[in-house]
Amino acid sequence: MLRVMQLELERSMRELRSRAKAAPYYLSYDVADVRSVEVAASLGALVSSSDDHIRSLDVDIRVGSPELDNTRLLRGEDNQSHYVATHAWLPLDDDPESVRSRLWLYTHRDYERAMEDLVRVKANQEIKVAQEDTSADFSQEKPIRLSEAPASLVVDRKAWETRVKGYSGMFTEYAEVHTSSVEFSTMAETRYFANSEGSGVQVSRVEADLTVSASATAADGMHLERREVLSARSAQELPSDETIRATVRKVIEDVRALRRAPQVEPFTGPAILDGRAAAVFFHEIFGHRVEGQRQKNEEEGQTFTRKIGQRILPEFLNVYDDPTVFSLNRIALSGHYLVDDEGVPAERAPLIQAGVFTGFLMSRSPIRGFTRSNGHGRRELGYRAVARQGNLIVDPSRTTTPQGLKQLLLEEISKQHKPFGLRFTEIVGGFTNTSRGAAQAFKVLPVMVYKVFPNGSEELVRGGDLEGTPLTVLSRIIAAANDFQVFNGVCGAESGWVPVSAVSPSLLLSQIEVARRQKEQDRPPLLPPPMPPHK
Amino acid sequence: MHPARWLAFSLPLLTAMSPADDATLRAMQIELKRSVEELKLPNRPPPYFVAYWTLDSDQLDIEATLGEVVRSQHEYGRRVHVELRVGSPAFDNSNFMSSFGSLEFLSESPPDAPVVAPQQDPFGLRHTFWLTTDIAYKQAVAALEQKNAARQNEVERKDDVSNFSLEKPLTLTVDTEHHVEGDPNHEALTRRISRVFRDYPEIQESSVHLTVSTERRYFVSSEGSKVVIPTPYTELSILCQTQADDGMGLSRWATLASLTSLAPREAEAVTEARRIGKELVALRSAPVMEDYSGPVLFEGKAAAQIVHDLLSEALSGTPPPKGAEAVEGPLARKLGRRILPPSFSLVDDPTLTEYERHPLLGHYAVDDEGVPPQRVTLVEQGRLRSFLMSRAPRRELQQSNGHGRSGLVGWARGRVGNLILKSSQGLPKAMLRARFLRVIRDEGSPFGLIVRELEPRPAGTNGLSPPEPELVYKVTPDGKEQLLRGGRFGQMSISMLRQLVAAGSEVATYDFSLPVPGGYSLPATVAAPSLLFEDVEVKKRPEPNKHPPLVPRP
Repeated sequence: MLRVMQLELERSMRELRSRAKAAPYYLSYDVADVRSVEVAASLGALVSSSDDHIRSLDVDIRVGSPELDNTRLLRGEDNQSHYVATHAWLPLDDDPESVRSRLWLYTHRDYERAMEDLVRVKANQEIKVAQEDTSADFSQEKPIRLSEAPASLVVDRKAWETRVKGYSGMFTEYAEVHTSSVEFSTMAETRYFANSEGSGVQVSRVEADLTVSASATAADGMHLERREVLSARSAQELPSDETIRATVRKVIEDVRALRRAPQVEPFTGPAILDGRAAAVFFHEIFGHRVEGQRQKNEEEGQTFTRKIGQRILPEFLNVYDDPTVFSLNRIALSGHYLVDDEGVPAERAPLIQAGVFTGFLMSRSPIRGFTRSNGHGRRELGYRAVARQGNLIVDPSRTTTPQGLKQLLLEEISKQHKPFGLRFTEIVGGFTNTSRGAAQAFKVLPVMVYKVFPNGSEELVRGGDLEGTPLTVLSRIIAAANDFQVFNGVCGAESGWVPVSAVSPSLLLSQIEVARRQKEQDRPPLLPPPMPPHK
Repeated sequence: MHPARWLAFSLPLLTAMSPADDATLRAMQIELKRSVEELKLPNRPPPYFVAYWTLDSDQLDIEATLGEVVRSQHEYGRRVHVELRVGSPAFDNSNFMSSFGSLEFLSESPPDAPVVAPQQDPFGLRHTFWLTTDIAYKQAVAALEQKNAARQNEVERKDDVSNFSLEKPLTLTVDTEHHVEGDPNHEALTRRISRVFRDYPEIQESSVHLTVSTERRYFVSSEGSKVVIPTPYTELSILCQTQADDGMGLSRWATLASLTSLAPREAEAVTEARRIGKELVALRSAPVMEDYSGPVLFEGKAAAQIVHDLLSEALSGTPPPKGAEAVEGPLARKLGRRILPPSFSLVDDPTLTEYERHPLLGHYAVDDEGVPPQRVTLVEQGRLRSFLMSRAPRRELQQSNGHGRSGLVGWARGRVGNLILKSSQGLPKAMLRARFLRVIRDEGSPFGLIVRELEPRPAGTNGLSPPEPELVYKVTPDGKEQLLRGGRFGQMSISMLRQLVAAGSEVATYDFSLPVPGGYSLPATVAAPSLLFEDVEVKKRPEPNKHPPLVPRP
């Protein structure tokens, strides 16, 4: 496959150079061969079960010059496409003739589009004021060659159907859980990448997830959801039956407890973010703001653009993003990869060292002071790559035990004369507004929040959102524990959904702000649920 | 008293059916009974009508190009649809669009999204109906209130027809084998058909897509209906595209579909693929269309396609939704008036499976409101006599005629099934052609146009934006034909049908699936004889051509 791609790529470049008025300066083909198996069940019965195989092709063609090309964002225009020009299906058989004929066809179509885009880009440059950041559009990188064995999927779908049905049946007895599902998914992807600079990469990736989710409605109409994802590098490496059953029981217990829990009142005061919650928190409020391309987009808030060399966190904190880390505490990291989606080897990107801000996540789109990629150009198939997070890791140089951290929280509560503090154990995600038109605020959505009273006892509460502004809240971190936890998930942004991990120990903040969540107003279901059949 | 409260339920079914069917229907009936008898918000009316649908589908999707499979999927799924009405048949929550567009203040899933249920499991099915009905009821109550408020604001109430017609409950069970084999032969077949295009290097892109589905539908209603029917469907579509040397984009297509779960015959499919392949290659070297206005003969399939585009939407008798700016169709005030020459008649008959040896796709045993279809005479001696009716009445027509089709998403509307246009004065092919040549001469036109096929376009536009013609021939008075490319119709209108000059005696059909956003495809067929129009405008496509490839094909 790679050989065929390279041959056609060379031929296209040669022919375009000799025939076209303005030949492209860069061309790449990215082929993804993905086989995926998914099984979902609810209440002991199968909802869906599929086994799919696709092979997709994305073409990136650049005309103009690396300094100014067809991909530059048009200033003052909304709704700009974040998609690559071509996202097409390739035949599943390895017949070189039909692959080449498709590559040829889409190269032709994309070249045409790229030329049209370049005209628009040049016009936009002329009618607008000079850009603050005059960086080029495409960085110089060394070509690389890497070849891994193709990924293969070993999975017994029928056996998983039985297992998933069994797990989902555990919800049947709990009428107050309104919807529930257990989903198993696994995929094997072989990625073939070739570009006109001479890179040729073949990398493989296998992953498996088991997702348990459930929802209920509280008596006051609030919609409550709980979800746990178990991730591994293959179906065989997923946790044991026992662990999965324990996870299902945990989800059931949490949803039931949340229904009965009181609503949280607006609150400012000290709080602990447990490892996973802290990890999501850093991903949302910090990670997204250090994605390189935002620093030259004049629509963006650019919170950290000019903060290089300044202290923004307490001295004991280091933060970096390192996609080369494979696993931590024997948990596979979803954000692991060796070569990014622009064919650049992944590197550890130091972001904060001893509290001082040191750099950005970089794709091949340079910004002032950073002309090279650090292998963070990522994208979902069909999208244009931008700098994204891989494995964001919060690594403090001074830690205490989790018990010690709680003791510090209790001290902080009494110092601030608060009736209680808060502890967040699960955050599902959040929003962070990085664009300049809006307030530079964030909101993250915690699911499991506990009041911690001065005597150390805890009470589950629901319906609070964590809000604030990034620079303020980051400066309020006062201590960290030594209990590193992993959050695996998928993250959505301009370049689509990509798998990411965030790693952090539990953190103590001297002050956080919690606001009441916007609540659904529907009554819970009027009729009692159907009675399960007697066994 | 609310009529639904005293409906009697008889749970044991009289018809013999498989244990699985029986379990499914029972589960639906248990939840239906609970909903009808117990579902009620304080100070709000309970539902007066509830209907449940369950669809079990088993579908195979294969796509191939140039002899190779690009995609192959086999999916099994169970989905449910709930129709729930509050108020009374005279005035209920249906057919209403608030000025906000939809009922956004209800945060849960919208009524128009298909709801997935666990497969083959009566308890999971009951659980799904329980939650779906709860949402549907709350939305119905909210919609009724808004609709009431909107009615208070109306200055004059012109159109006070009722909202829901009374129809007889129906009991129907049709048993068939319910399984699609994930047959490797289907892949091989699709591959072989797609291989045909290897013989045409001038064609840039081609694809063959086979869908084989077996579906089983279950329907119960608070009126006492119980229906189990199979609704299998198979479609093979073939598409090819290329550019002419000047860069103009060109395409051709063919579809072979049937109401079975059997793949089409290979020989027939290969013949079709070769035909469109040759046509596409011929189009590459055809001269470009110039702006034209004059007589046009729609021959064969093109006639059925233009009838569909002009009439299919307008023949729906369902009143536009209340609340929003209601736009009536162009035929709304034409009942009893002439819309075609007196020699023409038009019927829609979903009870037919075949017409003049053409298989028909618009056949069904029960419509999407549980009403058996009727043959409807829409136009008689050129005059509009009736509309395609769902259970939403209009002033002149109070009953459904079994054309309520929704794709089981949202409210049903009167839609076409098998629409058949006939002329009592149809001319044999040679005579029609002679007549056409005479019209050209009489008009003093240097040539006329024959249109044989349009691009496929399942949504009718009342002629506002007719599908582009793909096969157009210039015919000089001496009878010589010359293929042209790059034409586009000007705006057309239903009134052009009144001036039809002549029709053929042979019938051709256009098979398509009516588009329903998020819904299940609604297969339909339009049958029509060739039609000679006196004056149609055809223009050269205004868009500039794209460049042809700079790099030669590998």
